[in-house]
Amino acid sequence: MGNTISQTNRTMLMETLNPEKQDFLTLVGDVRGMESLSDDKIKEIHEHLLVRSFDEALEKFEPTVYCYYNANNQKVMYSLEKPETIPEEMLTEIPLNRKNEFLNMLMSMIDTKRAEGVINVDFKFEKLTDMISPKKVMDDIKQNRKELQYTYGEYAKLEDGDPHKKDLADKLNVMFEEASANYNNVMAMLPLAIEDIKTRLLLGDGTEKKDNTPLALGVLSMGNDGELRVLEAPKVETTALATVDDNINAGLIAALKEDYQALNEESNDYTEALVARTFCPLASTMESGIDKEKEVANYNSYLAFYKESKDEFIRTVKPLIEKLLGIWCFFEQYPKKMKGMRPSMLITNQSNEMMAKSGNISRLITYLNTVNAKNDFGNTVWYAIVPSVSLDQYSKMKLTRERFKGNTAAVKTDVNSVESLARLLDVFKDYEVQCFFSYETGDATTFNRLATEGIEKYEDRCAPLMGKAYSEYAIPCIPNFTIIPKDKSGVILDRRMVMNEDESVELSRESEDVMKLWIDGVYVGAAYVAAGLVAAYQSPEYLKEKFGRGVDPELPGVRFDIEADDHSLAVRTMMAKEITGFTNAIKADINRKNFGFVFSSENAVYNGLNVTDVMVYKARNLLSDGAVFEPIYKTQVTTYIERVMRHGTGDFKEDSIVRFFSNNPTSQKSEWLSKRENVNAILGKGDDISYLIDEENGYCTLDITFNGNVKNLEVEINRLNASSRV
Amino acid sequence: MAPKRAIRFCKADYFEKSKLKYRQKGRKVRKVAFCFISFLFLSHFFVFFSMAQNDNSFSVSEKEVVFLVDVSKSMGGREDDAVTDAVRQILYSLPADIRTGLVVYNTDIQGIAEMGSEPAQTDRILSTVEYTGYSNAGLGLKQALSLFSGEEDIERHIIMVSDGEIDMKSEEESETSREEFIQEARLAAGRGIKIHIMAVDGIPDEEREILEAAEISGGEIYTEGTDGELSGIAEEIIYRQFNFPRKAVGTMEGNSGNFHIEIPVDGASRVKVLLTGKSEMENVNAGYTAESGQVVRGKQFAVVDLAGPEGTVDITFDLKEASTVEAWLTAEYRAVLNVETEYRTETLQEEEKGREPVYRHYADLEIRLLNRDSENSNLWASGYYNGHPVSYKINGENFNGKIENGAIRHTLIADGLETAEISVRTDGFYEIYREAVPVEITVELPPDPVAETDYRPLWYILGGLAAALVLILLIWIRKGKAELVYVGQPDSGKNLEKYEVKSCQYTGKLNLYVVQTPNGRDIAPQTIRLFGRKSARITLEWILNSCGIKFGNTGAGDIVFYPGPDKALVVMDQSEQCTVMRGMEILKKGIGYPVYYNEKLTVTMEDGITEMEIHYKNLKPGEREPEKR
Repeated sequence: MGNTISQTNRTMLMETLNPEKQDFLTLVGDVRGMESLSDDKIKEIHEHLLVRSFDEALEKFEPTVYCYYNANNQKVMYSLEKPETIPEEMLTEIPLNRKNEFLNMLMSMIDTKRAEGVINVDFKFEKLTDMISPKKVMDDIKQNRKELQYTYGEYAKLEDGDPHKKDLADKLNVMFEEASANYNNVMAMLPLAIEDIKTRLLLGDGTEKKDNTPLALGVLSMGNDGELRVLEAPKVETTALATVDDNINAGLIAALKEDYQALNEESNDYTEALVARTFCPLASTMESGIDKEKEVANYNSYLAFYKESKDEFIRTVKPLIEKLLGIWCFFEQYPKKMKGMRPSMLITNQSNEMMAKSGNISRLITYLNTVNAKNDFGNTVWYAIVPSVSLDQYSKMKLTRERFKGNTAAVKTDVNSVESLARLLDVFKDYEVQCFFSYETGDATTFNRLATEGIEKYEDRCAPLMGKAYSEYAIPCIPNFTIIPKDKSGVILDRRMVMNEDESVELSRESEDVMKLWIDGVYVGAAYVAAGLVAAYQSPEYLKEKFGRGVDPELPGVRFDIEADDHSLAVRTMMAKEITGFTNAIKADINRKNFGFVFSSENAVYNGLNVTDVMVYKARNLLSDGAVFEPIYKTQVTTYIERVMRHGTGDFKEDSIVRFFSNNPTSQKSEWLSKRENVNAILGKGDDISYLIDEENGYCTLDITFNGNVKNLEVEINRLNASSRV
Repeated sequence: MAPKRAIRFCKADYFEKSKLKYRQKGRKVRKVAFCFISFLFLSHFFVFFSMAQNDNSFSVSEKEVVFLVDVSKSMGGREDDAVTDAVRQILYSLPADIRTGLVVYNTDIQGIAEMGSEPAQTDRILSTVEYTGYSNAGLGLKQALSLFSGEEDIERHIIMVSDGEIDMKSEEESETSREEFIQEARLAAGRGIKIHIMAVDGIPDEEREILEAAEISGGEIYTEGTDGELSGIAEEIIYRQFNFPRKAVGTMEGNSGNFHIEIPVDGASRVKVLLTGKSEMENVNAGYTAESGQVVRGKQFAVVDLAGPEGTVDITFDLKEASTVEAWLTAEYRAVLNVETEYRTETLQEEEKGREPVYRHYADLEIRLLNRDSENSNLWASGYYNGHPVSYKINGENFNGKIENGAIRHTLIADGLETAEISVRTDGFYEIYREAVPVEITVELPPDPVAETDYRPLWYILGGLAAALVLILLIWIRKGKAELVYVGQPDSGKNLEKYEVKSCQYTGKLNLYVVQTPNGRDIAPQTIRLFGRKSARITLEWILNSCGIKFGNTGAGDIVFYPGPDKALVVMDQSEQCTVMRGMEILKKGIGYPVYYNEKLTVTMEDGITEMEIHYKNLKPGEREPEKR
């Protein structure tokens, strides 16, 4: 029957990335009277919302933070939604892409941690959190300006008309574009200004000097009596450049100033000079005319403002960043360069709550009716991700008055309610979409907490979803992953500057003068990683890489039981271990209840190598037989068999069903049985499939046996024809 | 401590055995069960249960008592204060409803406590007496008589304590006093006042004029020596002469002990425990819960006087010498009689032609005693009184009955009575019931029953009519079920097929999604199973109501569903303003349209705003069983 199903890992993500971009509901549109959507419509939806990599997600959705200033409180404000009442020219759009220092820092952190393979308690988070300090910005600029100076030097050397000069001009344009990102708004100028003042007042040396004597440059000479002394050199006002060729730098400065003026209508001399100094430093920063008092005041106010704005930025952007990291983690589970059944993700760009509204749910049904209820399985949705499900039912209560600065995360408003999840699950059940959900991120849902508190609270919270028709399609994923722990999320930006009595300037040594901002913990919902991993092992290529032999190149990993044998050791997440492990008591509890899609951070050895990644400990959904919950693979195999059967039997024609299960070597059942030794066999060792036709009701009941446990599948036999209706 | 505890266990065991013994003898152990006495002896102990007589009759009449005490020099010859101790013993032992007064005399009157004085006031006068002067008994008796009130129906007593001598400074004065004494004694006899003499140290025959007073007035003479010690005489006067209701709660013998006394019925206004010993008592201590209380001790007596007590009283005491101690309990209640009446009518003669019916009316009385100190609770409700014999009087006629389930029940022929006066004799109770005065009830006869008309024929007719109506209704329902529905065919669109609804069955389920409401309210998706329902017409309104969705009058009642052939659901829009779409096709009014599995209907209600989608879905065999769902 061939490979009728080419993918079994299309995943639907119920999240908003950018409200300004198209979203699922808008694209599906009005579905009154419509059973399904047209192929054109499906294509349009996928053009906008379907992504196959993280970068494609960034490209399609262009997640953006909007920045504007409030003159009343002298503060910078950020918003994830475009403020409609603020004119365009007053808004600054900050794209969240790989160049964003915050996102970049977090991704680097995951990579570094994975490479080092150390647990949270041993990992030096501060090394990476430094990446968002002004010093790091300046370091990056230093590297850039070196290249800029070099390229401009080369450019200046060449004669006009030289073809190579045009090449260099193109290159310079790109470099200026990148550099201009740092001076096209005042906010971006702040770290520059901070570091500039430090350079000029402290000679760029923030280290603590033992001698507080003000610096006066001098020359070493011998006195009349032959004594050795350092004489203060005469101060000469200079605009001479440090590089050998003054003309080159003069040209560069002029170009930078011009570019700055062109980009900023309200330019001023200070900023202009600052830009020039930053990208083209003078040899001597010892300017005679420095008003130290003013500069120190400026430095301190810049630093305070920078901290405030960073604080506000991080607070605003963190939920979006967590979503982006989630998507990144989803795609990270599948190796970048591997071909095969690469996971794809349909991002609804719509909140779960909005999607679950009664008026909107029929649009989802119509879409799923189109992609999941046809015998074309190219666009079938197999999984869904619903992250940030509310854990605390009182989470929406607000404090009457915040007397002390408390945890602002306590009043999360962007969490998904269990009720909205239940509504969606009821739809997913009809279209056999397995839904991975994870609870709201925070300190309460980490590995650490699970290790200390056990799984009982998750089980309690899942109770409303158990014992329902849709329970089989609900997969609670625990615990959430910690990118930066709350207690290690402090970033030291710099220290305030103070002026001593002798007018020397130094960085304050008082602890209260240390400017520190708290990221307050960054986490990734377990559902992203769980769905990413399950989606990854659907690919035979992926399984082949992990197991080598014994993998059929055509069959998907629908029957792959990650709990069986040493599968969890071979197929691991790409997330680094977080803790030393769970206690035996906690593990015994998890094993007794067999609850949820549980990740573990355990010490293990596989093929002689230490395992440093987080592994899967349990992979269960919420369907329970009263004692244990059912493994997720059973649901997917059943769905897979049903779909293959529907396709292969012409929508369950009775005679085709008989043929489907016959002992003929070409029958589908025989084909599957012949591959039972493979890791990705549809019917593995100990599995069997039989059928019973109920003539009276017109139903065929399949008994699918998984290692002795029988699961029933009922399909309606296609006996109706047009004439029988008349 | 250990041996003491061991003894306690022995005692408890002993009490159990004692109770059993009494039960076996058929006596009413109930009456003493409340009394739990334990004694602790240094060397040995004995336990006695004092069984009060069942047919005891106490004196419950109101009384006034005046103590007339001679404190002449001759009385002071003895060293002990046995005279005042005996008076105090009587004074403190008497119940609160016996009012007392005191006259102390020698040559003149030395002290007076008016009638109704508090015992403590009387006690103060006694404690300050000095034995001096002559003995002017005539003056003393005259003064004593003057203390009595003029009220009627009150027993009056004078207890005169004297050594018999009437002696004044001169013989003439002595003679005058003697004459006056006799005269006053006669006067007392005339007023029904009894003079009892406590003759201290005996009285020689030559001084008999004192004793004459008792003889004249019908009082008793108690002579120290002949009739025992003064404390014994006091006990005799208390228990024999005044004979107020009381309960013996124990007798012990030894030189120390303790009484654990359970107050039989809660809500007593006052309780006294009277202890009388044959030797001097010491260290009398009482443990109790009460509004107030005091322990009064004399040489050979002790009284524990409690107001508003609850639960139990524990008394411990020592005796100088091993002797017998008796304990008595007097409990007083402020109780009023309460009579509840129910009337019933008995037909003596049925109505016949030309003869009026004859009825007899009865009043069933339930007589209770309500405690005014305990929210008018029924005192007799306590199991303690169950089966207690009672004498009572109704309209002057005496009856004997029993308390059963907290009340005396009596049936009275009410015909001819306008009122009934009910009184209960309380002298048969061990408790004192103050204020239990007779009550009068007004007899209100119920009206005679009116002869009932025989409506049976009418009921037969109505029953027949109802049966006929039900029959018609059933036929109509059957007819309704066999409703013919005209169904439009999707292919032709014009040809209408008609078929009987009854021949088809509902299958599948409906999923409801309310897409839009007037107020923007979000209504959760709903599912309703059609499978297994009777093959009858159902409306959208019914479906919405079943799901708890209320839209008001929006025409949902006119959108109806029928089971159709081939597992179809037939939908018919009979409304004026609603719009129903099957897929993209708007349904014509009044024509049924089949909807098959996985098809959907879009309904816009009459308000033009409310809109919903109805998806018709199949149910797998496994889902058709409710428990699996």
